[in-house]
Amino acid sequence: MQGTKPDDDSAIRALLERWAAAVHARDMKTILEDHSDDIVMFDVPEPLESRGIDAYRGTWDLFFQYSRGGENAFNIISADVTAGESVAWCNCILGIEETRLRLTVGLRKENGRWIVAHEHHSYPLKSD
Amino acid sequence: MTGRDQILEAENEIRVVLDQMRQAMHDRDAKRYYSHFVPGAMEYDLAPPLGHEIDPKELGDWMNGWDGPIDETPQDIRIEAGSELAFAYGMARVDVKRGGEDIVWWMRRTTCLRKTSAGWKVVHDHTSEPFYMDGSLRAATDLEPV
Repeated sequence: MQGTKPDDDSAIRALLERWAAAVHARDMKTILEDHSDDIVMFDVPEPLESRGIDAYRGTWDLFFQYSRGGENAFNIISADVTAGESVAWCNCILGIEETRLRLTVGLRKENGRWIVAHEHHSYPLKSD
Repeated sequence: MTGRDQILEAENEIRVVLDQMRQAMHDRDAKRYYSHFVPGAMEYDLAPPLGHEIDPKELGDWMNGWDGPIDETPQDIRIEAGSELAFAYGMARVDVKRGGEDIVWWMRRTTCLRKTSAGWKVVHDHTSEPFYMDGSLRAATDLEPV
């Protein structure tokens, strides 16, 4: 296959940056933009999964019980984007305050626009 | 074939690959398990570090730390497939034995694949446990799907 096209790479990176900036600003409307109605979220806190955009919004309501937002609240430290014609994913290292975690984002293209269909956020288990 | 037929075919091919990976995990065969990955594929694993390249020796050691098969039973895997890239995700129940004791946990798995001349291969795989938000930050290994 051909590699990721520069336009797709930059569109997906811009989407992630808008999203992170919206978390800084606690701007729920923008956080939910570019996300599909049927999104499936695997979040850091329980439960195992949250299905659909309303449940996804609920995961951010919970996040903001613990976070006041701001520029250290949620940052994409690194992102590795792989995009095809209609499906893409991005593997990221996230920063939440001083901690580091992993994020895998799955996207699909609808009407020429990338939207997020799946997110998987996690910390590794503590090593004993 | 129409685009829709191609996507269904891709989904079927990927389900076969995921089945074969589960069979290799059951058989505790790290080499066969990783034959479904591209060289240098990345894993975000249950255990630290944050991410690492696939390592058959390390996986083999982990597999041999259990008594008998490692059985992963997925629940409701969803697949988003295009002509050359796809990702699959869902919850899974893992059943293992150690020291005569049955150990069970539920986890989440997201698998990203690329279609190569040798079929669909895993490029990135992410498994994890959620955490309890009761202040303990304990891994919630005893949760079941709701």
